[in-house]
Amino acid sequence: MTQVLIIMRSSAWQDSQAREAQDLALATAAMDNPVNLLYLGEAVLQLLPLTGKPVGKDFTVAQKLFPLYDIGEVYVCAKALDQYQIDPSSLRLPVVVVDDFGLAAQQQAQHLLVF
Amino acid sequence: MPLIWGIVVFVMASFVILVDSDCFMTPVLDDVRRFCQAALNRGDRIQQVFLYRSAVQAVLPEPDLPADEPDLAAVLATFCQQHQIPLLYCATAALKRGITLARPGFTLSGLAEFAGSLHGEKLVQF
Repeated sequence: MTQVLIIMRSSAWQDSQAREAQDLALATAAMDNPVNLLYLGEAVLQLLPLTGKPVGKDFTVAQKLFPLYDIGEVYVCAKALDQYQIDPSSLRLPVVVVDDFGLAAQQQAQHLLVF
Repeated sequence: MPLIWGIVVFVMASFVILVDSDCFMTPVLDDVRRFCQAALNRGDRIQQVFLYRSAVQAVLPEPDLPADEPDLAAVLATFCQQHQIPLLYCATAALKRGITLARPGFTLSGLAEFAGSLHGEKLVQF
């Protein structure tokens, strides 16, 4: 089985990057590839619950489907949480907080994709 | 049989190429073509080239490029045809960018096709 790690580096609403990366993650998992996700830097903001209605389509609600699609771990960079003063319990999903930009997860993956 | 130990078994690699960067602002399509050529020269195989996100702009029919600008998309399409490499683009990403028609050489596809190709292959992202 192919172990894919998709690294998110963009915030949710800045451009189409975050949305299309999430689409790719769901499609890859749907084809029975084991997929883990790693949120670095401002990408952690994708995981925050919305405080208002976004102008565009809210693709972040599909994060609820991660377990359904058998997406494995959702890794979040400790440094980013610290930078944005986010408590991991306030995120939408249960996450695994990792140090060193998730280097250990990156080393274990067979395929890396960065968005 | 010491002689057999000396035989080097050449293991052929097989690549899936994902292109998702802006193909008009950067010469990424030329990078892809050169990478594929180098891999083929080594005896490796390119299973598919898949265009996603901004890279789907490469399929635009009749791009009105300045006279001094090379049409890298056409060069890549010709290269892939010559070497029988499937050159696919994501239908959803293209439609979101208003692209409903593609120039010859590019095949309409979807993320499932990309995701289904990953088993055992090496993945390179441009």
